[in-house]
Amino acid sequence: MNSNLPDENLGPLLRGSYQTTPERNPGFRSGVWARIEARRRAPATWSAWLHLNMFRFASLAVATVAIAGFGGGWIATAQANRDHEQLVQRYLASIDPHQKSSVELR
Amino acid sequence: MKFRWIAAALIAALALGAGCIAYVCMRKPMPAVAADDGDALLWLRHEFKLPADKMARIEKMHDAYQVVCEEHCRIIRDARIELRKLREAKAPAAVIAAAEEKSREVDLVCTTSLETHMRDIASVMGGEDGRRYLSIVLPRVAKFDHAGAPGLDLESAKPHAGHAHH
Repeated sequence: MNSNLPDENLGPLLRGSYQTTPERNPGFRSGVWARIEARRRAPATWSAWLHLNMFRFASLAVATVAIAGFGGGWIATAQANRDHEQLVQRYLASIDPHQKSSVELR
Repeated sequence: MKFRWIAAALIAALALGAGCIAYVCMRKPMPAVAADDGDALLWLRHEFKLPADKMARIEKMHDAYQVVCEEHCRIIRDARIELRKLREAKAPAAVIAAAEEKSREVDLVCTTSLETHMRDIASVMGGEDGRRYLSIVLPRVAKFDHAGAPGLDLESAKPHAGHAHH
């Protein structure tokens, strides 16, 4: 590539080589205004944001709380069942020679 | 974006709270099962909350049964040691079969004796408590693989966990 061309040749060269034909975007203007409007309407405070997203927030909160509540209950029940079973097995091991291992191996 | 994070944190806190409340409400406090204080009757005490006189009778019956249980342990252990020796010595099939039959018999005697003891305990408890006791213990005894008896310590004759404190 020849990089020693005089500067006065650069303009015509670029005009000849780099021609772009931008695509028309009829939605550009309305898109810009929509973004400006959205920014203008964005809530400035937490309560305003919550008011605007109340349904989504409430749905998500109810679902999450329900799942967490179910999970907590499930863990508690499983733990109680396990403790109960250990007590029963300890009792059985004291009167059933066959069940010795089930307690000693714990 | 900042508000979303606040909402997420709030929901997470709510979920944590709900989980903890559900856990506390649903849990059934049990006596410390991990501590090996040797109290085999802890379950009966905790689960059935029997009157003191009934509990005292059950404790006596339980202690008395320990002697029977020890004897069963010894007989079962002897029968299985004998069976193992015969198998290792590659004894005739008929002899091994006879030893297996004897082993099954002593297992059956043990199981029958155990069930009788449990029914006696249930009759002392009486009523719904007795029925509930049997509904808990009998299926567990029946479910246990008496034929295999992996728990019997064939190498030593030391008493098992339930007997150690008596």
